[in-house]
Amino acid sequence: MVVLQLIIIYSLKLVKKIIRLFKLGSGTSLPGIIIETKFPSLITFMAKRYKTIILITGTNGKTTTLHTLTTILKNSNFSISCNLSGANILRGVATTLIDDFSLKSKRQFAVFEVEEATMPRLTSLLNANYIVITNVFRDQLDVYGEVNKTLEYMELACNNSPSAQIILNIDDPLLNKLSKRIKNEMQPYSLGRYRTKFDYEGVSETNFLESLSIQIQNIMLHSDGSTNTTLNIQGQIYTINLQLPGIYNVYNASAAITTSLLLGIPIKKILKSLESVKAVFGRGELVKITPEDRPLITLRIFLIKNPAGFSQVLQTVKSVEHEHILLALNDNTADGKDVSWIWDASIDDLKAKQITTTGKRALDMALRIKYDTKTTYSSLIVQPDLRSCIIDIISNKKLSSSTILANYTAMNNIRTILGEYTHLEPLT
Amino acid sequence: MQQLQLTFGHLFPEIMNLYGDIGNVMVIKKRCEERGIKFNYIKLNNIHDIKKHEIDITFFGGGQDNDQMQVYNEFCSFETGVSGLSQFYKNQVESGKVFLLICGGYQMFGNYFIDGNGNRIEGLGILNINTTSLGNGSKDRNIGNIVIESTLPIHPKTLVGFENHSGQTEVFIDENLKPLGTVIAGFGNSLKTNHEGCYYKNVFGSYMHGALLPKNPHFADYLIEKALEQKYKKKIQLKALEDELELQAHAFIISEYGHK
Repeated sequence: MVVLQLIIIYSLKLVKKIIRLFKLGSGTSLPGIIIETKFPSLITFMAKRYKTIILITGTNGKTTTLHTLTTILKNSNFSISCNLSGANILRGVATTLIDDFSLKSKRQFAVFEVEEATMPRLTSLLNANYIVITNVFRDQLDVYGEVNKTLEYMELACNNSPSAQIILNIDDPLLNKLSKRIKNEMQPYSLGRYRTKFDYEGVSETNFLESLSIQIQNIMLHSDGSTNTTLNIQGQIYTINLQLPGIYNVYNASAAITTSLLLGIPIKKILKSLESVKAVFGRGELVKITPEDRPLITLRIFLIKNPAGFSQVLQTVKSVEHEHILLALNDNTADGKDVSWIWDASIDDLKAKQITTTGKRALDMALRIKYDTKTTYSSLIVQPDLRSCIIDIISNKKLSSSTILANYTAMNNIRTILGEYTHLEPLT
Repeated sequence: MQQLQLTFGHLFPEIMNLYGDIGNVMVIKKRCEERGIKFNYIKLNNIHDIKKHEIDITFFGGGQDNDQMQVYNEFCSFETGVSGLSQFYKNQVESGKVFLLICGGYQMFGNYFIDGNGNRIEGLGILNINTTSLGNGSKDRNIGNIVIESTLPIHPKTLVGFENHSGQTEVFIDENLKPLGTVIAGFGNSLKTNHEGCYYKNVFGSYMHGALLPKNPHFADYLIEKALEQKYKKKIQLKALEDELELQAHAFIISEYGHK
């Protein structure tokens, strides 16, 4: 039986090589699709080779939490398999497992970012040791139907993994609810008095205080996008400077620290690694461009995809007058066809000399700005063609900076275009 | 000349505000203020609040199944119960007050709503409609961009939005209760019929999110006019606003998604 499984695995690895060699396509998704549809038990087989499996799920923050946690693990010299943000459904995880499969050596950790609806099936195929749940917000309602459905997926995943420890954001009202329903061992994290207040389901002061492994004493958000945080871990006070903006990133960092402490990684190592983490792939990513005939232009790129995430990014960029803000909105399948969510995000004192909207739903985004009462600008321009919009920004010699908020496929397009002007960090 | 005022009551804004519906509030507010009409926004978090104010437009948005259960319990706590509440609203409706009801709000002003688990939640019976959910699971939902052609005296005749509902609504059309419009692209009230929403006097119910009013400024103005006419008992002519952006956004949906 084992021999048969090995034959299939190596055949699929070969298929991918052939596809790449003869340039029949990138070949990236085919092995994953075949495993998902024909040989799902291979996931079980390949997963067994890891000492520890960590799954990271939730609506927002998966990618940043994964990136932070894997940085900590790599700096502690652990060998890891992890997936890219775009590969967080079952076939994507399968692809990562197959790519990293080797008879010669085993890696110690598998750390996967997993999309919420995939959690039930994945947890039935492999034994997760730790499940990190960042939050449950309304996201892509046109795909998930309702928020409660997402919560159901989380509960199912936890029930499928009775021996997994659940690391969860206890400030999130829905996760607070979940914590009372599941039987797993839990390690919650909270920002205490810095927690985000939610309008729905009043959350009383966390009654988990004693069981928190880290207590946030102080948070200072700086205008350069860095965040100074003071924490109490096991009775000792530490202050760190995160190169990530916003309260939402303190949440992501807390998730990574909590998990790392459970894994027994020394505190000083964790915090040192944390300080080296830079904003990735559109999560506050800073891109500097100096094309031939113009002075430096700095672009700061944020991913927005649902009301909570959009509101959080807006909190990060508020009150400072921006030279230029670009809002890029698409409604392709990967983005979610419904754009109503832009109306649910709260804008609070957004200031810019010029605001441009682009992408397929540039007009909707422009209406959002037009009808908003807390946005100030001298001009609002609609330029749906994303490529020409980016090129115009880069060619405008009078512009030295632009703050870009874009949803998923628009973000990808923008990074591809910017990649023609400068080197951008690969996805992990 | 005395300044005109419009009092806008938002029913259960914390519970039934799932789907960008707050955009409708922003649109009415700005379009009033641009015309020098004072916009009074009242949050009706408690059912008893509805008797405290003279409300010209009542807005009731969408929520999830269990939110609707919660709202029903609120209805029951009205001083004269659900039947008293129903009578209160019927009087308002007959006197021409304006109501904009989206999705869950639309369903709850009907006779009843049967949710995904088969639970029956009684409605206020203002609109002669019944809603039955197709069942749990997102594959059983009417989801997507929608374009309808309305019979209302608005120009353009089209209304555009985005729908997302498992509820299948049956509208008992008669000379007083009409569909909001015929579906050009999308699903509408149910998979069995080709119409969307409904209206009775100045009560407008629809499944359209988007939010609805930003890309349908002509409908927003229609609601404002009707509300002011009812309030001031005279014909109201609203000053035209610069709506190029809104109408371009409207036209985009029709050209991109307006084909079956």
